[in-house]
Amino acid sequence: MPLDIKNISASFHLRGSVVHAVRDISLSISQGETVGIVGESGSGKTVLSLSLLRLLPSPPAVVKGKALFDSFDLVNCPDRVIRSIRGNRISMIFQDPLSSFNPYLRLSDQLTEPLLCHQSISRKEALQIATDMLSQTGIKEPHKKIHCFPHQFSGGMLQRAMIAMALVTKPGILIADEPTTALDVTTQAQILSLMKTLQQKYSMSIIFITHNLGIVAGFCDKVHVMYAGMILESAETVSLFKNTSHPYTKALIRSVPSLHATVDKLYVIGGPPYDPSQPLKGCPFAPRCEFSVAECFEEKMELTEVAPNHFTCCSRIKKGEISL
Amino acid sequence: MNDSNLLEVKNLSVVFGEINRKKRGYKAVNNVSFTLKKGETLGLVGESGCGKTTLGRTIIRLQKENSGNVLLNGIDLCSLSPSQLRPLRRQMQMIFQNPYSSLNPRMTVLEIIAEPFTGRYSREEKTERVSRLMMHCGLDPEMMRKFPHEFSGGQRQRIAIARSIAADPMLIIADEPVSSLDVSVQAQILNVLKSLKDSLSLTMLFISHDLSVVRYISQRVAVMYRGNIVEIGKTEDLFNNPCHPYTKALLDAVPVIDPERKIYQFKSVQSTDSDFSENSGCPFFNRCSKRKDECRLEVPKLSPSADEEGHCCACIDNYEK
Repeated sequence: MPLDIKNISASFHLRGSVVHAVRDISLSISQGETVGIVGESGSGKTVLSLSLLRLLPSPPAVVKGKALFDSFDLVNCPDRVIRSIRGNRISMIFQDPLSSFNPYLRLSDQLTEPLLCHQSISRKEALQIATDMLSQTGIKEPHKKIHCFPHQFSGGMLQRAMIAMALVTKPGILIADEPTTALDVTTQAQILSLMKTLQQKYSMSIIFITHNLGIVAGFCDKVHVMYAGMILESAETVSLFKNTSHPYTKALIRSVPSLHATVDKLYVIGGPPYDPSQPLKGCPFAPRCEFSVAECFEEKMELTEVAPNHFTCCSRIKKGEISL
Repeated sequence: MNDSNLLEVKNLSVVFGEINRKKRGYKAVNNVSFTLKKGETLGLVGESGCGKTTLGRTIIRLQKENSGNVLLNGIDLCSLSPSQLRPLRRQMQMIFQNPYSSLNPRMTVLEIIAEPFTGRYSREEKTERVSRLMMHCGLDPEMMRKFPHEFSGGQRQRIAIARSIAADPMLIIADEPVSSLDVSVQAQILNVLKSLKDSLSLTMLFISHDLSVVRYISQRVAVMYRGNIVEIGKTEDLFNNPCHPYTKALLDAVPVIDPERKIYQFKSVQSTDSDFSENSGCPFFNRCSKRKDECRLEVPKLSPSADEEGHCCACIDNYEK
């Protein structure tokens, strides 16, 4: 199911000061596509996904803009409508599987809950569907395991259960917020391959939020790089890594230690991280950028196409003054 | 003993939950031996729960061993009484994973960093030393009167590093020092550690689950699996020519920045879910893609690989070569 996000901004109004977590972001996701959103902590990637599902507490959060999904506007529709979509047609997987389950309830209760809420279906049928889903995520003996409590599962198993819970209603869009950060590399690879299989089976769209450039490179079709609540670069994955056109993306790629080569000194992005409570003028990355000139601090940034389907908001790249 | 070995770990085992003979405990560290030369950095990698942190804590005497020895400069730490151990504790320092919980929130940065040399210097000397340490670690000495909550995660980790080198220790154990940090901050901290290591010729045991980080910082790497070291060798040899199936699987599973390599096609390791059954053979048996019937019979020992010096691997295939 396609999703069209138009000019979303999210800000928090706190005791007189305003923190802009997401600034005017537009992006679209087509059916069956995997879109990656990368950024460091504080770049607004989680706030963006929470604002799509209206999970931000309001007040203090103020969300503006539009998110069009099947003739509904997720941001402005009535609560009744968003409740029928959330957890049903758009599901979410959270970062920490241990803290996302209710420790007092058996998995059977938690996995059938989306079905019982959204569909007129008996408890018995719901349990059957949930057990099937659990077995599809690769958990052995799902008939026994579904009656366990969360603490009886390991981290990887719980993350599988979480995926099963998100997918029981066969959603059109899955939002995965750092789903593998808490897991080991081998488990991570298994979970990613599981997500890919299920995606192809149900032709879902996935919004994959992560800070790990390696996962994005190997998992997503399209990538949006976020910094200070803005998208600085967006492109198809191959194009983003082959023809990187924003100094921030390049700097991020260079600061990851390589697995296949020995490096003497890692590249370091200088300067302090962006402070979201400061007003923004010009490019948010300009104070840390090695290519910035005076006008970078003044000019307003806009995403422009530099190659087919490759957008950057670096004005110096656009003008061809620098190449990376 | 070889003179250049600063740390020597011999057949170290740690068992948790062993109450009596009837109830068998869980072997967190199982018969581990390795040596660490002066000025060398050994990376220790493995999944969570493989015993790498327990090994680090046992070396530094935060955890009691069940059998085996830890020798620091030829002195057996395991046989010392607490009072004999006390002067040696200064020689071994630890950097913890979470910089938010490893710094006392009620002490200023000056007090935190000066704590290892309490009582040794006058107030002026102390301030002088602390400001030098802070500069070494890329912190502004002006900030020494502030409290930890006023610093970001990366800066706190720098404070923890400054504290760990304050008493000129012989050995530093860094337990996942960068895994809670962002990519760009991680690069800064790794560079600080590497430059300190070179300028002060520190000996370090670097524990991490991130193979690319370990590759960057270490001269030698040991891979742990369920309490056993399954492979150890020089960084270059181990990464370019891994012998153990587990090392190969780990290396395959790391997502690398290469859009042509699809991470979800990775298939070489079976699920961990059925992995808790004990068997008398190879600990990796249940998940290994190349397992044979012989693997069930006994635990393979670390044995030198044919090609490279100092590269050892605990796999039955390795003996046969």
